[in-house]
Amino acid sequence: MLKLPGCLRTLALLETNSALRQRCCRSIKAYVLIDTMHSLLTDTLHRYATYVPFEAPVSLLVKSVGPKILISACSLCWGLVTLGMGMWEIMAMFRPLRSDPADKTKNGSFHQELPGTLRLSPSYGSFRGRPDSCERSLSCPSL
Amino acid sequence: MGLFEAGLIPASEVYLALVFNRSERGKRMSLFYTFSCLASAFGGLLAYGLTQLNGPNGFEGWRWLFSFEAALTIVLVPIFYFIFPTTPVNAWFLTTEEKRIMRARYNNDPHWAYDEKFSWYEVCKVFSDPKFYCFFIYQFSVNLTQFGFTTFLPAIVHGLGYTSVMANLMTVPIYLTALAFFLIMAFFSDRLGMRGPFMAGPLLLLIIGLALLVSIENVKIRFFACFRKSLSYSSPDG
Repeated sequence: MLKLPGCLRTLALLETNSALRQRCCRSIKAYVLIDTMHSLLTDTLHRYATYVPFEAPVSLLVKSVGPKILISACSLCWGLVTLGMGMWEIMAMFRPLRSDPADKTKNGSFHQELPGTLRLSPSYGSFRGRPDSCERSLSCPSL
Repeated sequence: MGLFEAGLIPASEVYLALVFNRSERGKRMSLFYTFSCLASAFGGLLAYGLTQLNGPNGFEGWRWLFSFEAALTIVLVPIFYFIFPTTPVNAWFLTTEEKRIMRARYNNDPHWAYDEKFSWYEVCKVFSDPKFYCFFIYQFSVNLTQFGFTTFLPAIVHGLGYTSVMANLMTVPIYLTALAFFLIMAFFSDRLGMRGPFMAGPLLLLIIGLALLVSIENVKIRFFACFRKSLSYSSPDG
């Protein structure tokens, strides 16, 4: 019984680390180590800005709903968020989820169409600048 | 992701507390945290391998990385839900006799009152307990160094002169050493029935490791300091 939550713990860390490493590798390729540090700090702060406030309420939820349901629900949600992080530039996938043409027109930015959960994602800021575009130009806003 | 992951550690620790008594928990918690070390050790390799993929239809490597890890999680959830018992006392794989033993174990050490009603009074009582504030300060200080180290280890190793690929590879032996040390510490902690020395000892190694990393310029010694620092990984809080 230790193995199942242990595997989920491994996956949680893999996904979090991937978000950080993806940013790190991208910046190392661009030879901007100081920006790597800055980016990693920002990403880490984004993650813990959601992680820390929710840890106490979630600990209380354990008492109400029990560990089995809570772990299953949390794992499914972060799995879906991670899947979304890998695909979020394919806008057609998100239009059925959150189509807001007025918002798009007003702001002129494609990320206005993202579903709410992705806005909460700690790595949301990481992918505002695409990796390939960052390698081409050091003036990428996310660097 | 941070929001949803926040539930995993408390729920898992509660479940372990339901199954194991206080004197048995150190070794089991260490096995649980072993998975963290494995993720830290091999996450870099997996990330490197998957980011080498490219396509089809311009599906870049970093997309493959997130999609692969997400798919693993999503596949594991239904397996977890159907296999994992709601409470250890009523686990589907236990015989009637084993269930009776589990109930007797719990009654002997009812540390987690899962059959009691939720009460805000009980929740608020924690704020009047000085141990809570001591642990708060302790956990904050330990996590500050641990998360800083794990987050920046590839960058630290890169700074020691290794290329980005080798930097990820060179983090693997560091985490494997940490893992072995952690298991040994947890085993002896349970066996001797002591926690304090096994929390304080690794913290001393942490201070030495950080001091070496900050003060020494020699690359080999700094790499050794990473090993020294990693010996405190998970032991103090696990």
